[in-house]
Amino acid sequence: MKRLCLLLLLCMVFLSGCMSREVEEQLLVILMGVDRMEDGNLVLTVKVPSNTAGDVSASSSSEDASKGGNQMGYLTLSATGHHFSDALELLLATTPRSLNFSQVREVVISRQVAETKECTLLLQKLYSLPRMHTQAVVVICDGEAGKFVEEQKPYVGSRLSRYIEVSLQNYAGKGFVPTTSLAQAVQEIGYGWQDPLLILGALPQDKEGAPEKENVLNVDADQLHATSINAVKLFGAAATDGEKVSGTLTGYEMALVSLMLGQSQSLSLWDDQGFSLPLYARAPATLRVEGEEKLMLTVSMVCEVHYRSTTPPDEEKIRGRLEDELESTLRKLQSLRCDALGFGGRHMRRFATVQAWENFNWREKYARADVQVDVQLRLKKE
Amino acid sequence: MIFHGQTRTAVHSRQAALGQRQGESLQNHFTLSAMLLYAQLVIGCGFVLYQQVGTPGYMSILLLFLPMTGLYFISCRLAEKTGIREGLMGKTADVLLFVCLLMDAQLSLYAFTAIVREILPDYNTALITLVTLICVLPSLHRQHSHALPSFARLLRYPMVVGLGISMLGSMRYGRLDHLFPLLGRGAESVLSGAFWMSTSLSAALTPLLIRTPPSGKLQRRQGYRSLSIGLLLGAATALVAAYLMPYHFLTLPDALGTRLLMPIKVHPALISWSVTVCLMMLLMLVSLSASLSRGLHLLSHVTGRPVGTGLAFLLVPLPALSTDIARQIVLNLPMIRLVCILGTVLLLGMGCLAKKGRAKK
Repeated sequence: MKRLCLLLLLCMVFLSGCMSREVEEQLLVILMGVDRMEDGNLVLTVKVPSNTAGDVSASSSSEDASKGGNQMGYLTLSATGHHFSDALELLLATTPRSLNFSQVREVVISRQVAETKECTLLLQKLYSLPRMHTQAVVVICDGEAGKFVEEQKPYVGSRLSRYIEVSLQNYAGKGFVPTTSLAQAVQEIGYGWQDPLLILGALPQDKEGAPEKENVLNVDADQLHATSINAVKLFGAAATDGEKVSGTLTGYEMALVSLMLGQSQSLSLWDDQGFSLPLYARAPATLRVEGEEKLMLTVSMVCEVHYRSTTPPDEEKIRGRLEDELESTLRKLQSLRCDALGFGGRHMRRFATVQAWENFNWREKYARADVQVDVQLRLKKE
Repeated sequence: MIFHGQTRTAVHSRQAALGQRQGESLQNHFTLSAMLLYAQLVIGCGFVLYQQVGTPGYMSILLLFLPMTGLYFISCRLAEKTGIREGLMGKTADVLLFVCLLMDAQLSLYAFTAIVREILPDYNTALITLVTLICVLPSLHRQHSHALPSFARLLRYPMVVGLGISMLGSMRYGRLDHLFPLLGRGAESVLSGAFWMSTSLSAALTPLLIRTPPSGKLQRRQGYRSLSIGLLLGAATALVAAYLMPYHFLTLPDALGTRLLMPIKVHPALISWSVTVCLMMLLMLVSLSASLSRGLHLLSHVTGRPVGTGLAFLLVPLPALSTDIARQIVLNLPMIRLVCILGTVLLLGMGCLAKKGRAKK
């Protein structure tokens, strides 16, 4: 009995919280943005809660304050330097409190920076920040990252951090955006196991007229014909080729990739009459790599299509269409030299040492490989 | 000896009770040694194994089964010989073993301060080191020499359960692909990693510190089992780290604290975050206390009188306070430890043979 009491007492010692500063003695960074200006300087932008009652954020209007929606304002701070380290040092020196990165939810990098070889190093530097919340998502945005950061507000609820988390869960659950965190991006980028896909974001632009494409979801974030309460749009993915962002995937292509990866289990197809046909994939796709010099990449999937009409849809037509779309997405990833599905990780198992794997020159062979998609489709009446 | 008024049954019961208590004390010491071994393996992973060997680090640890077994049974045999630690060779062996335990204590303190600095970067290293040593001080009192092994015995199940929760909780964040290529940089790197880690096997010399009676076969088997569990846990830790992180990530150069807590930094949303950090800190504290108290016990045996803790307090914090000294120690650690461990066994073996020779004459 005494030993048990002693053990419980010992366990209680470890239940105390550990923080060396009060909340008001620091600024908790929620969003970070990185831009490269035309003069070559780098701009680092952070968004922090101001911890004051009422809306005192520079980016908010008095109209919002009168509505009494936000209990807490947000401050957007920025600093400019030749390099990331310079900009960070300047920011740390000029903010009235020390910056705490343990609550970062989103890291936004402008596409201009992300498409250079600087991208990998930047991600590693962000990852190495003291107490950095490495589960933050990485967003690649068209336009200025600083503006992207500034435009984000908690339109639902009062906390920006929670708003971002729930929004991302919603988008990712549908498969239109990837779920890559900063930690995953740093782990995976550059070494051939699997190239990470990063969330693609854009600031709203006025879109007039009808959508140009038949599939309205087969567009990038800046081409969406939709308005929402959210000032920024997150849709599609930025593909990486081991060094930098090499191109983008539309929202629909990202949904197909999510289906193959098993990150989402459903997708909506439409038949010729415009009726929705929900497609379900209960398991991720099976990947195979065959061949030595000329590789054959094979993706096999088992899918179910549910329908409600009295006559079943044309199974062959749906299967053919799905295979074409999957193959087209895979070929696009190949052209962007992005192994998003992880063929490299599978093929690496054949090699005993890292040197043998590096000598194989996987990236070149991946880009030239043949692609084959096999879909087993089952129709199910609801 | 039977006293007036005592029956043989009462005496046998008292002897049996004494024997049982001695057996329990021996088991507690072995449990403590198993924790020491596990702590040194974890520190070795952070210092060297992840960076130099990478993914197949767990193989390097599993290769230690054979040397650990050999060392353990040799030390059991030597411990059965009475009086071999009394002569010059025996006392020199004690000094060598003290050096080995001192290095274990230094590394444990260095690892503990590194972990604390990783989670609380605003605190001064010297302050953390001083507070830690003050907390450890009561465990060094010779009258409380049974407290630490008893504490280790109390802690063994919560520690294993806590480790299990940490490891199982983190499994969903890893990938099987991360374990490939199986040999990492090659078989040579696995073997060199095993060589480096083999110098952590001073815990296998526990029978030399606590005399195992010749009739204590059961205790010896249980002691070997405890050490094997410690070794297996070390291998499991390295395997889980490899499962969580791909090769290139595991081999990134970084500070010791970052490397020890790397699995958590990679996925800080791990359910068992606080369990993992607290277990690591507790393990390092137990390792520090145990290495220090055993080292001082050996030194007392050599000098023939109680040794003050001041000497240890001067020598132990050095790597925690100076990164240059820490670097030197890490560079020379394998050779120093190897010389100490092998030297201890050789000297005691020679002492044993010399005694036999004298007895024959």
